[in-house]
Amino acid sequence: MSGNWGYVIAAWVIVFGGLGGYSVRTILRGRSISKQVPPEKRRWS
Amino acid sequence: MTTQLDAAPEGLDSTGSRATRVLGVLAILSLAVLALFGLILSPPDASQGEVVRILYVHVPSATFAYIGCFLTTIGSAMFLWRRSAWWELVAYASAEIATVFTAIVLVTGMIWGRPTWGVYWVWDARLTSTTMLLLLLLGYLAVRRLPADHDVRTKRSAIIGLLLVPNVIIVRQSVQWWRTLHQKPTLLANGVGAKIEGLMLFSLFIGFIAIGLVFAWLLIHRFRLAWLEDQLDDAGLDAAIAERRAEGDRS
Amino acid sequence: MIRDALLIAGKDLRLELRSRVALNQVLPFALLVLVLFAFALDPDKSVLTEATPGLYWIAVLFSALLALQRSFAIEATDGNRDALRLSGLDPAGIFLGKVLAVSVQLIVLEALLGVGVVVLYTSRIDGWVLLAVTSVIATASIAAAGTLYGVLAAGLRVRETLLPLLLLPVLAPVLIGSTRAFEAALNGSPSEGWPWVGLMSIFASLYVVAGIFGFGPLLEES
Repeated sequence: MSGNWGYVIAAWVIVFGGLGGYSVRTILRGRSISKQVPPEKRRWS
Repeated sequence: MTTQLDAAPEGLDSTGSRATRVLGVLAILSLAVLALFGLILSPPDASQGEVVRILYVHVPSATFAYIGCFLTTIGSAMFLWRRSAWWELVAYASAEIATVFTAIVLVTGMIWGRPTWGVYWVWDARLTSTTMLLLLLLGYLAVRRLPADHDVRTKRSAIIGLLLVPNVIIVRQSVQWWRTLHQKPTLLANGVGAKIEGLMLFSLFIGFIAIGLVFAWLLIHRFRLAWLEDQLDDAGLDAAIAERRAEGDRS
Repeated sequence: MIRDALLIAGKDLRLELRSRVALNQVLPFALLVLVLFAFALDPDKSVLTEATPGLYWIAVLFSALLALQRSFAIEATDGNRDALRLSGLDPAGIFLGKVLAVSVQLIVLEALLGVGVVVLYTSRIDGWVLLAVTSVIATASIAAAGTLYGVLAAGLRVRETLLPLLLLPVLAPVLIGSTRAFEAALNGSPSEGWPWVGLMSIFASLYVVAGIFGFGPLLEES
């Protein structure tokens, strides 16, 4: 049964990695597009 | 209409704000607690062994994938009914996040399945429905991201978004009937139905909290990003029109 | 609304009678799919016979995609869509008319294909009532959902690749239901098939209603 730790770790790495990667991508795109948009239009209004 | 929570420390050059910082810190903390309880403090399952730990992230991800779908449908409905651009952005952001979560559900489900069933894939109700969910979401995203006029994209994707939850319900029901009405006596035991209690139940509970906080954090950021993208598209359109006018003046 | 529907259905069907696209291209395509399945699966083992209902409905689904694309292609020429919008016809009627026209073409296709299936796959036929009702309901479902998503995709440059992506996942329950119902009919246990017909009826109702309300706004700006 303890041989299955590999699967557990793989799954958790995918979850954390996937969510983390998506988060980073979202933040970075937010920063890059923010620069291209005039300041008064950057937030919902 | 920016409130205190919307205030961004760096002068608005990112999608962050006080609210997202607080949320982000809480999310990371709860993920740490989840790892502590899920991987270390909670015991292995009597029948599944260590792999039950995968469920502490798999199940909450599935839950929030479906919550994302509901938000997309509600947002689409509000957009079509009240022309609320705010709700349209919520719908779009939720759909994309739900897609990421659904992909995670599929992969972790397959990883859970390998030691449990011996194979990576079975055509059981849950995995099949999740795959269909992914396809339906990809359809919505494809339309929302079309290289077409903003109004055209948003209205058409909203109709798809509106039908998303009804479609999901009908697909899930038909797949469920399909896989259970003629169940041969081989035990493809869906281990999630097994009794779960004590520290294991607590770990699952923490899982919901942690994944939920991540979902909320992502939703706010993705919403703001979607708004920025739309602004950029508008700016692009304005620039193109200005150019056209300049050409007209010249000739 | 009904009058407009019959008007549109009549127009589309007359167009088909004159151009015979469905007859000359869609029907052979459906037969082709069946033959290809025979190549892909081994006809000497029982695989083909067991899978017959499923293969039949897959052939119908793929053919329906062609028929739906055609249904909107005829509107794309010579500003037909503008003419349609300005004609003062009730959009819900236009929707129902198009659904009716596509349904008629599909029913004819299914009947002919059924003959092909019996011949090519040497199947027995039983449970006629279930088979017939299933065909009607499944056809209505495919036509209604297909016409709604069809008008959504119409007028976009990516419509050929978009429509299958949107429509096939949505129609999965219809594929599951019609196949199970056909299997029940052919296996002599029709009572197992009727619940599936019920599910598909709900599906068809949902999409007819959605189409009646959604077709107008979508037609406006395509």
